[in-house]
Amino acid sequence: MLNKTTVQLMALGLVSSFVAVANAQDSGALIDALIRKGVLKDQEAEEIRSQMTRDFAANSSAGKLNLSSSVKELKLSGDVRIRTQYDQQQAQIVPPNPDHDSQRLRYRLRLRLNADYQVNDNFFAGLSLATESKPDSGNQTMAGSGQSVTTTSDYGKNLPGAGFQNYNVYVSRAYLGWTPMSGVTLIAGKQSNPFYTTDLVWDADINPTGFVERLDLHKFFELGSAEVSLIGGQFVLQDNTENSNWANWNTPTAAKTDWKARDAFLYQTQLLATLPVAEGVKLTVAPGLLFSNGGAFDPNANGQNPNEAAFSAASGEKTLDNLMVVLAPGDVSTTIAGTKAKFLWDFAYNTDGNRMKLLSVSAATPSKPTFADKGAYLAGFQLGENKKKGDWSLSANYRSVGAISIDPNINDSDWALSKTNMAGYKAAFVYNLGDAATIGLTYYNANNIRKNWNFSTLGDKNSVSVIQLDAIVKF
Amino acid sequence: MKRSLSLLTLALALGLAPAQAEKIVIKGSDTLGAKLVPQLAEAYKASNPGTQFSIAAEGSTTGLTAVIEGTADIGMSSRRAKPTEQSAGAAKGVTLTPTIVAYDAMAVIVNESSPLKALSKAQVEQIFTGDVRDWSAVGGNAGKISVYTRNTSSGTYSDWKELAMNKRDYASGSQKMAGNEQIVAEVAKNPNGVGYVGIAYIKASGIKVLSVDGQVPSAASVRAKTYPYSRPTFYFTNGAPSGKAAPFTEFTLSSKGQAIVEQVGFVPVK
Repeated sequence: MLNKTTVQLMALGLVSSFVAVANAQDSGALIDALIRKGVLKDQEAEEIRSQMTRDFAANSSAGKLNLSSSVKELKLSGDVRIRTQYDQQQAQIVPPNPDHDSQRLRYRLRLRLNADYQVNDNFFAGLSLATESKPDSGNQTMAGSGQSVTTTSDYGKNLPGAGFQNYNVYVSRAYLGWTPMSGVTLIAGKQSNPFYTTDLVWDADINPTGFVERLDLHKFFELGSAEVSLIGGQFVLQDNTENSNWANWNTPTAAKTDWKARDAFLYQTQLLATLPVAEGVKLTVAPGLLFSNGGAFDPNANGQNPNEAAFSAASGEKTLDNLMVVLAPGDVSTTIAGTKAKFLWDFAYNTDGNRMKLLSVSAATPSKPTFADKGAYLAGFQLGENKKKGDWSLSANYRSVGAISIDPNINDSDWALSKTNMAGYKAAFVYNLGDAATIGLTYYNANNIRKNWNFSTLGDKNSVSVIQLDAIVKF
Repeated sequence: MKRSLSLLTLALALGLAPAQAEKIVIKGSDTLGAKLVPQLAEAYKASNPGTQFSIAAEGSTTGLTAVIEGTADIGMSSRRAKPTEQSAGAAKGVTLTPTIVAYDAMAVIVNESSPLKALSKAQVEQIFTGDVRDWSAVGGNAGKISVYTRNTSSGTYSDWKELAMNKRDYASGSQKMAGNEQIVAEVAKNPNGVGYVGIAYIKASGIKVLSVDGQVPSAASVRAKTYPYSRPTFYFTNGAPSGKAAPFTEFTLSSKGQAIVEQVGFVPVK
């Protein structure tokens, strides 16, 4: 017959061994059961709990984290990507200029670190750090670019971006949000793209800055299996001093020059609907409207584009004041022979495009924009998914991007290197070497829609091809 | 003469100087510190003249922090120490050690005018998480539910989430009160109010205690562990109670101390 002390010691051993494979937080129910059975007294149980908590705190990384009491959940994540990229581009040939093409091989890396907090009272906030200031790329080119490094020098360590110099880290997300009630979400700051989209219109790297409101209608109305949300975003593209007369202010004899500029905004609304259309088949549609007041396109706004593409004010060419783009992305998702499959599309049409005059080779004969100039579309598929070791995915799409169809500040920076007036395809294969490690090959090829056509820097390429070999580890 | 002066100095230092009173610093839980510990301190002082107390009842978190930082002899707490607190203590050479001094039960209270008498555990969770926002959904008169909770530094605040809310967040719009008495006062004023208070506060006027899954908070249901929202309350010390903390802890656990525990409305340990 075991005496009570022996039983208690056995209980302690049992609990401790349980803790060894689980953790102190999970063993409360076991201790409670031992109390109910009279094996442990309350005070003894508290001493065991306390000891286990101390052990948990001392021996686990989680126990050493000291988070604010207001934090309900902290998600830390990130990834490192090593990329080898080869791109080849041929410029438009505008007589009397000779043809011009270039080839480039680059080794690039990208680091992203994310911290997303859920705090009390339905508030949340987060931040991300990335290795590049450009919004549509987190990449840094290894050893910088455009620098000559010789073995007889100091390997360029004193040259910007060359040699083995370290990289800057930039804040790529900084946002706060609130869910005042179920189905209503408000977010402010630099944040993840809130819209359902493809990379026809939005580069996946861009985290827009501004304000977002999301209303999940299916949480307010009985919509069966359908999920319907209304999403609105008001983003700041560029801030300018609206009025000033500082030019020549300190030269009394000179005439004062009033300077007027405007801020550039981008607004987008979207009705996002996901609904089952058959057994195992789901349809997603997301019609919407994107408006940009085009400060970023207007040379009079005295600003720079976030991206390198810009309309110029070349003689005879009108700048694009506004974009008013009708959007209609969507997809059908299903499973084919046990493999996930998605057929996706996107459509964009700039209803404000008629205000443009497009230059042909001859500046004296501007032409009227066509539907192809004002419209953009994408159609493609994806087979497979990348969630665990051994997974694979194969995707391909074809797209046409008219010269004045979409905002070149935000479209995919890889496909045709963000240029418009291009049509072509993208194909990718990604394989999971581990649950969180992938290797992928992507090929982009695009050719001009209007050939040898002088239209500023937006559509100034005859062809662009890009090959990317990526290795990614997520954590 | 010189020797006489030295003796006089020594006599002043040892005997004639005012006696240095022993001061016990206690910080932490409002549940314990609002009524129980002050009454225990008064009784202790009666039998230990010269002892002084400094009692600050601003929430369990403050008590545990004070023990870790060495600014309190005893940390009152209505909850267990978190791993991060144990870790912070270990970093400073402090071993947070709990001693159960009383049992408490958290009672669900409503305004005395409410027709409700009982709720299920599921309904309690729905009310405090905001899943249910009108009394008519749980058998009461129609009216928007006003939820009163403790503030976030309170051990009761986190205990309630764990015991009654499946660790979910409180309803948006719930109002945070500094202590049990404030919750009682608000619920007594508001016909649509609901809150939770320690068992020592359930006899206040203007409120009504609801049974939960057929159980009411009482000494018997707490001891039998049948009331779902009962819990131990603690003195936390650095290691086993010692120094100034030891005799007061011993007094609290004595029959005299436990009689005060019962008299104030808590459930005695013994």
